[in-house]
Amino acid sequence: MIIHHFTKMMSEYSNHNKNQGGKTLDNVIWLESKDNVATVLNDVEQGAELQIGDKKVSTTEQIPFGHKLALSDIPAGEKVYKYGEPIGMATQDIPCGAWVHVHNCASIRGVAN
Amino acid sequence: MENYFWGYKRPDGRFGVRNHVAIISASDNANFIGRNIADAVNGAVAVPTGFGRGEFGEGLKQHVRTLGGMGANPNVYAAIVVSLEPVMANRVADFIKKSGKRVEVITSDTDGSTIDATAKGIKIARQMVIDASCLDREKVGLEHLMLGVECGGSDTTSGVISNPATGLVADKVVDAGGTVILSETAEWTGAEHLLAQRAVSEELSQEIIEAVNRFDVFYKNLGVDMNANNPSPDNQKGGLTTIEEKSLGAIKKGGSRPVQAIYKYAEHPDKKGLVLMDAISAGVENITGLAGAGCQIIIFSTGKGNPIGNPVVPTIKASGNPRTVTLHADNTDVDLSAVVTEQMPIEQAGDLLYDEMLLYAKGKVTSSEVLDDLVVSVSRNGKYVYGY
Repeated sequence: MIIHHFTKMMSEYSNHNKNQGGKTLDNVIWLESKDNVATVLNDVEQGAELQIGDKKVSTTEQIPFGHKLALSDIPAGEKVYKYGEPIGMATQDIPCGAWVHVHNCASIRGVAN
Repeated sequence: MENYFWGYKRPDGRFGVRNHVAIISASDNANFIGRNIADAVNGAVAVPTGFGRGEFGEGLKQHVRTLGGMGANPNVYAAIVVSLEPVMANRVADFIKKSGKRVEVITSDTDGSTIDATAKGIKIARQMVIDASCLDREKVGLEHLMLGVECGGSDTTSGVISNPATGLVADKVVDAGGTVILSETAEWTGAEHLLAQRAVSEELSQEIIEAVNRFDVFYKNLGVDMNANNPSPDNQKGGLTTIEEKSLGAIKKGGSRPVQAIYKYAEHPDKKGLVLMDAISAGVENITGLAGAGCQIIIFSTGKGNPIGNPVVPTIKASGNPRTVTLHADNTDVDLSAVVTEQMPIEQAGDLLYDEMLLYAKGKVTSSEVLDDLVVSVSRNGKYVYGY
């Protein structure tokens, strides 16, 4: 069940990142272990160190609230996964920690049909 | 956890969560009279429409089924159908009469000028509201509930917060023997295989895939690649990148139970459990179809905010976006943003939304009801023939 997994990820993440000394808590949702992107639930600065599951990812650029970052290098032509399902294809090489959106990811359905 | 609601019993055995007198325009030229009547009578609601003249074939059927379905909706105690002429008015009124409730017809042809037709309507509506006020609510099980789920103004939070929370409510309603309608066919694109896998028969599974393909072909024939134009620019700004991502998040609001059937726009489901309605995704058009199908409650999950509701069906706005629940606080009914700000587990968000849904069913007014931000748009999508 995706929903349970989502909750687990949320609580795991918050355990790793207890808000200490007034430091802002970066809030990230990684829905399924198959996913090579995660969604941030606050504006995340460039160079932020994020603990996502057992991975440490450093952002290569700013990621706006509600947007996605790559959890691994995603070569051009490879599928981008969220919800454990393909949401599109990388249109260029996407480095780990980069912002994933319309500039580097396109619909497979929209293009192929 | 409560598994009942308080409803008004109707002659056809259904239960309403509202006790409206509906003033339904059967054609666009009667909207002014219908609005005048509704404005003059406390407890009457206007159900205006576009078009209604020069309707033929499937388009005519859809027009009558939708407006008639809103009149037959159990949230309506009695209805007045207003039109320029009696033919279209009686088509809609006859549809409503099948539910056994009181229906009256007012037309410019038979009742005269705007002032005369309005005055007649006010007199009838006045008595209907008084009669409606004598009814008491009864305690009934959720097997009598039909819930419509909708998402609009989507952003990333819709797919990861408000839609999954709505889906948990949908599962509770289905498990209690009720009905849930999931719609917005174009926004199953890229996720339709997941719905097809949950279909109760191979035939239904195929129908779901075909419904999505039909939309795709329909738009392509009009020279539009929907999948390249959806998510919309505001969806994209909210973080949604592709139609697949939007769809995978969108279907979460239907929950996780088996899919029992697929129906036409505003068609009344004859099966219980989770069912689909093959219809356009635009918010007002879609909830008009859900109201016409007979839903007593709609949960409208939104990311970026959306103010509207349906006049006969309380439309509960739920959002998990902290910015939206602040900026659109006056339009938000259920605030789920604690999932973001306080790591509230999604199950808890689902429980919160379920409890709130039962309160709204009991009579708590939604923000769109109290602000009278109630709109209707009968879908023109499909095989429409125009007479002019």
